[in-house]
Amino acid sequence: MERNRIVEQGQRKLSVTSYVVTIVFLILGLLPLVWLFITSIMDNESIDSFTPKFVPKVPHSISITLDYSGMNNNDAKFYEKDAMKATWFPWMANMRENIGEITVTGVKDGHELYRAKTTAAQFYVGQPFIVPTQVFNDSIMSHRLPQIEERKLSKFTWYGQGDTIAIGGAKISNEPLSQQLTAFFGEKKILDGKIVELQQSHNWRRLFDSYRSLNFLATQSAGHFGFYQYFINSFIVCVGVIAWQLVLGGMGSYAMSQLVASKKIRFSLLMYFLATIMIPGVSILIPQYLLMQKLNLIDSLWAIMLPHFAWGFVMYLFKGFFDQLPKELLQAARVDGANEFWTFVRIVIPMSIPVFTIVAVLTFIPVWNDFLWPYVVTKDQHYWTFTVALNDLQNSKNPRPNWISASGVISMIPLMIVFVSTQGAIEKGISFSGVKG
Amino acid sequence: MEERGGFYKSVTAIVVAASLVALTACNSGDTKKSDASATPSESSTSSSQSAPSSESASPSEDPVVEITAWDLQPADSPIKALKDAQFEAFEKLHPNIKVTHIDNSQSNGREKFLTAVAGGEGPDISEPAFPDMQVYIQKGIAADITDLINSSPEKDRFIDGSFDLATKNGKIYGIPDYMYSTGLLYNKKLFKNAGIDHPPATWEEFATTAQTLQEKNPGTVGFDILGMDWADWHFEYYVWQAGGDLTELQPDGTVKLQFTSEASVKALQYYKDLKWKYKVTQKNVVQDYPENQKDFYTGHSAMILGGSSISDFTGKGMDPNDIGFAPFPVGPSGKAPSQVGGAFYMVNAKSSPEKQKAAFIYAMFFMSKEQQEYFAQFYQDNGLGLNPLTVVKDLDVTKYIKDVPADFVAAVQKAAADPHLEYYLKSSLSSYLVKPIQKILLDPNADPASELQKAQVLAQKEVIDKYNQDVLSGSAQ
Amino acid sequence: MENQLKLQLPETNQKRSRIRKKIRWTPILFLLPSIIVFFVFKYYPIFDAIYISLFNYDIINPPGKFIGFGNYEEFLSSHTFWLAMKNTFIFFILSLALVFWVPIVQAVFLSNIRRFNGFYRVLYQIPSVLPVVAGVLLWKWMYNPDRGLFNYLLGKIGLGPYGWLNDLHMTKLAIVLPGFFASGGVGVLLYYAAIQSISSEIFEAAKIDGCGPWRRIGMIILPNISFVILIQFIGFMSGVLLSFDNIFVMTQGGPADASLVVALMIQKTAFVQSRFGISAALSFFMFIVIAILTVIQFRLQREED
Repeated sequence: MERNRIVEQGQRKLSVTSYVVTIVFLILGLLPLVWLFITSIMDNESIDSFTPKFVPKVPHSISITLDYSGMNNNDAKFYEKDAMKATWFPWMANMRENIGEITVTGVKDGHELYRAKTTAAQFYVGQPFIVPTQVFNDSIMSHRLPQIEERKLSKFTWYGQGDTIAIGGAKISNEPLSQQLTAFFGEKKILDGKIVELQQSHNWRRLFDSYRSLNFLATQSAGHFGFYQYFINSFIVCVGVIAWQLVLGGMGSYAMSQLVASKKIRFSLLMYFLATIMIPGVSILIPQYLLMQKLNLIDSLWAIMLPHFAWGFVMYLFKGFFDQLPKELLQAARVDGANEFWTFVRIVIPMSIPVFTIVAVLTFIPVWNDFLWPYVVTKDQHYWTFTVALNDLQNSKNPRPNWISASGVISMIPLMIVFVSTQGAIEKGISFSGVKG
Repeated sequence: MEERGGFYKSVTAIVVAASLVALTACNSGDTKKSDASATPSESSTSSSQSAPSSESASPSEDPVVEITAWDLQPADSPIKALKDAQFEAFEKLHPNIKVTHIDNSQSNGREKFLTAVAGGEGPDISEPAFPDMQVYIQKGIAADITDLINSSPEKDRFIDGSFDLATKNGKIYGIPDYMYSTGLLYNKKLFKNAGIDHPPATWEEFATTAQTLQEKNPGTVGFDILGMDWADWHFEYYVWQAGGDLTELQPDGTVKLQFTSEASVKALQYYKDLKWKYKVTQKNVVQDYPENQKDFYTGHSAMILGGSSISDFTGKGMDPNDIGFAPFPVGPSGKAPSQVGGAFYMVNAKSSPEKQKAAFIYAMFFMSKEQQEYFAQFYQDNGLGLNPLTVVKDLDVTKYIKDVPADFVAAVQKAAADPHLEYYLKSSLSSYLVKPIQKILLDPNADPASELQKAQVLAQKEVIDKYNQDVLSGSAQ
Repeated sequence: MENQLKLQLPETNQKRSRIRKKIRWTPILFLLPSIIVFFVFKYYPIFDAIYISLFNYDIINPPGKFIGFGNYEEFLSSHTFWLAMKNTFIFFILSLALVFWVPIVQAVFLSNIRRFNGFYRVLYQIPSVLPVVAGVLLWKWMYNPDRGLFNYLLGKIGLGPYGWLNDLHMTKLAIVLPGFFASGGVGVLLYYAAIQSISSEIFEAAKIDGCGPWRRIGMIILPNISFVILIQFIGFMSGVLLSFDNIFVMTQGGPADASLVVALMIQKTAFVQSRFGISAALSFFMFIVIAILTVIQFRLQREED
């Protein structure tokens, strides 16, 4: 009893230390990620500020009402252009004011004519080509209107003669930004409608526009899903590599472990596979590139995938596990007349779920993270993986820190899902695989 | 070998010619206006038929030639609409040349280019910058297009001497594409706040101006210095201002390093003083050029060095009236030349003769008067601020720069009056020079002369000895 | 080849010949895809790299001039190469001191936690799921001496300001440091599983011998997981010696070559200077170094068994 109590005391001290150490390490590990998330919803002026800000500011929402009473024009396009001028030009002139959305409502003779809404996600994606400078006039917007429509950079709803709207007296907000905008309109005189209302508010949803931006970004170069296409590409590559590793890598290792009797051959095979972990990826960059070109695979997801099929470490992991399979069971199956393929499928695979999981996870991480090879082997943006796109986003002419942070946050999600959902299997896999010795 | 020697002298001629075009074109502006649209297409067609290897008389029987051009604009480029329209116009004009456009605007496109070339997949036509062009000619990547150019009636439209930078041993390897010059960019608003009404004209004045700016505008820095990858790019200006250059091309074609010359050491000492004595630079001296630009357009830094285009800054929300441009402050030599940069169209040496010819026609299409004017008009219409320098004689730039503030244009032309090319072999020597520059900016105890000495010894051993040996053995054969 | 393949056979002798014929092709079929991809995507390229390394490689008219070991002589006598080697090994030492031991410590303490253990294990995975490129960009901002978070926070507790990437003596540390923060990951699980698999009899015996919980860490846990540590060390070693992405995105080898490593030199000589011959020679050299270190590790490991 006494001995137990002594142990107990030391145990308690160790337990306390354990909790403290674990929690400290977890906080240290998670803090950068918290910062990543905060910057993803922060406006870029705050991120770039010389004194760091920690609390994101909710962007301004501007709503403008334009009155067209007495105007004879009935062409929706005419009004759409006016709405776009009232949105894109003043926003460009005040692009560092943390505006989150501008809504323009057109009114004519007391009826709602149209409503146009543009959010920060759309504005900052469109700005480099819709309003690349500070020259604001009608002809520029005439050129830009088709692009705005094609890329869906503003949402324009035409009512013709909608609900009645009461227009009170001069309802111009007194806040500084509203005053700036009013002054802009007064000076530039670019609108056909008359400003009867300009209100300012806050909409917390606009905090997350950096995430929505990714959807509008690169819709032309990458494909329908915009920047998210790059995540899809990364995902396809990962799935392809994992499928190969599990099926053909698994079969090869199984053969090496169970079907080759000679110790010598088994060892040479293992060495043949394992020695390749000593070949640095960067060493074979050029020959690999030349090879892909001979195979006519440059600019395809295959080119990114294929080199990952040859991973010595995976063969080693598999073999370590298959070596421990109960031989009697396999032999029983053979005696029953099952061929090796069926033995593998029916008996080996069900017993090997843990090792299959761990191989899948250990493959997923580096392939998902891979940068240099996809960067070299793809020119066409359709085939970029997101790491390549992220590097490009950083070096682009329009670097927006909150987009980079947002794509960083998104890039964590698949791995997080994989880890959380397979945690148990991974741990089983680790304790079963030969690694533990 | 004479051609190599002439490499440098001719620059002055080119740029003077370029600025003259800009200044005098008002007089000849409307002479050819009426037939402008008809001429280029005719001349392009005729040039394709008069090219040496053209055998077929009727264009419809010409076999279709497919070429690749790395010139696709990314979706968010303000000139994408322009380029796409030009591509379409070319397709109509030359149905027999099918062009695949590829976007190579991403960062580190240069690496991708070299990898593709190594794999035999280089584009048939590309647009390398001046220093890269030197390397590509030397490495045999650029095709010899002397015959194509000499038989083209368009050759004389290019300003005098504009081919020299792409000429080696009398052979021409490139078609002039565009040109720019550099100077000091300053934020007029911050200058006004500090009560300063003119850009600094000398090294001393520059330092005190930057100090005053910093004092009177809390939270800003006087000058963003370039200390990252391309640090030698801006540093060379200071060497010129001190009266020297970083390399010297010898009459026999060999290269002599001048890292340790008095001028180079003075220039680096000045860098050191800006950072440690006057304390007028940003703390993060190892940031790259886009970050310098960002500091400038967000008003965090009052002065940076850069090219003569305002759209880099107005496009990010900076008021065009706040942007000032001036020639560099003069150094101990009393001079401050402007660096001239630009690009050539380069045809791939590996492409088949048919493709080379098609690529040549393609490049000449963009340089045609019609397309150059279309280009300039687009810049004008979209308020992009055309660069006031041009490489073709018949483009009247003055017609298209009305939106650019007049004093800006005047300053660009003043800066361009004393042009200077980047130091010879820059592409190969850059990494050796960046090191002493960074050392000086990061270590207050580093000595400019000895750091430059170390860099020179290393560069001599690893680059120059070999280069000179190749040159001498090449000329002996 | 197939004659040499002696197959695992049932012990029942009478069926031997029949089954032998039936299954002798199976292992070959099973192994063939793997053998082929390994040959095509690993062995062929490395031999090609060796071949390229013997030439003053001309990218326009490959392979160019044969110069034997000229490329090797050149880099071995170059100052830059030895600087890169030195940096590479400093990185190795720094990573060893800052990163390698962390998951071991984490796992040891984790194994003493009963409550919410599974939850902590999941939390440990999260920092490591941030892709390297994204993580490095984040840290680069935090290091910025003008507007970065790091100096600001350290200033609040009276430290700094530090130059981080603007200080030649701190650059390497600044590159390795993020690894310390994100060092959890699969490593923790691996060590944790290894600790869990130590049989409870050993612990009980130690308890009875009067070995306290703290001493048990040193006397039982660490020796019993030493093989896992060794295996992890091999991977860690080649990982650090070849680390490229983080340095490339963070500093590209600068400032003033303070973070230039051999892997970066391989990339730079090839793609910036277009000297593929020397790049291939460096690659092959790196292969040899890694190979030697790996073999040594395996030897040590075998002795230990």
